[in-house]
Amino acid sequence: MPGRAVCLSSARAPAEARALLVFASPPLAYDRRDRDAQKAIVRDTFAGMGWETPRVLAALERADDLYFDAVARIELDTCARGRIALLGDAAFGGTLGGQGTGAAIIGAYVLAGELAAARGDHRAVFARYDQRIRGYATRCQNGAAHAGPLFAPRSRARLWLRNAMYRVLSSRAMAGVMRRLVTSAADAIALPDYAT
Amino acid sequence: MFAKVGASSGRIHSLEASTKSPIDGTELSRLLRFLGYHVAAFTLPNQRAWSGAA
Repeated sequence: MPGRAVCLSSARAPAEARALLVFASPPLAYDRRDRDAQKAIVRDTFAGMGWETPRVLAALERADDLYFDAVARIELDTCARGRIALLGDAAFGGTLGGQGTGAAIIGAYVLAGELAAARGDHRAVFARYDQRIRGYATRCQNGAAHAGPLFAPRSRARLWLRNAMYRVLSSRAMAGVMRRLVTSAADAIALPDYAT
Repeated sequence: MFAKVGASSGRIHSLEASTKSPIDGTELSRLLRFLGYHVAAFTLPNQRAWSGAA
């Protein structure tokens, strides 16, 4: 349905499945600690949808691990100030598809390497860390800028276009193109070989 | 000026002002750019029952 998507996939444990629901909306006011209120938002938003949605919503009522959040990204001018440096999602969180785990590991590698090399001069370290990681992190973030519309296009025409593009890109002939689309941001950094 | 962000599995699940660096809602909205969507995820207990769905 335009603006709403329900996805089911395997979870980590073989006996479990994972539900992912994405929907277009204005910013919502809700209590982050009120899980029942968040369930109500999901229930109301997806009420009346077909496919397996009624069963998914029934399972939602019993779920004790609901994750609910805005699709949003962190935008900071710099990853470090004074004696504080931010890393991972705190510095450049990119939302769904933003390579957050990989970017966090890359950032940690660069920060640790620069710290070891500078022998305690955190000002120089933080400046180099920010310089080295910023372009890479921004590219990862930009890759996720359209995560919402990809999951849940807002119109039937865009939904049709998304499905048509995905059919083409997931064909055997386009496998290389698809791979490059997925990995180009993740590989877009030349990592220094810090001496140990 | 900095916010404290909690994350697990690559997801941001909380963003709160640091008690040592007060931050108001306006500043928070500058840090977090809303992209027009919300997401919900949870675990379904019995995959076998859903095997015909996906």
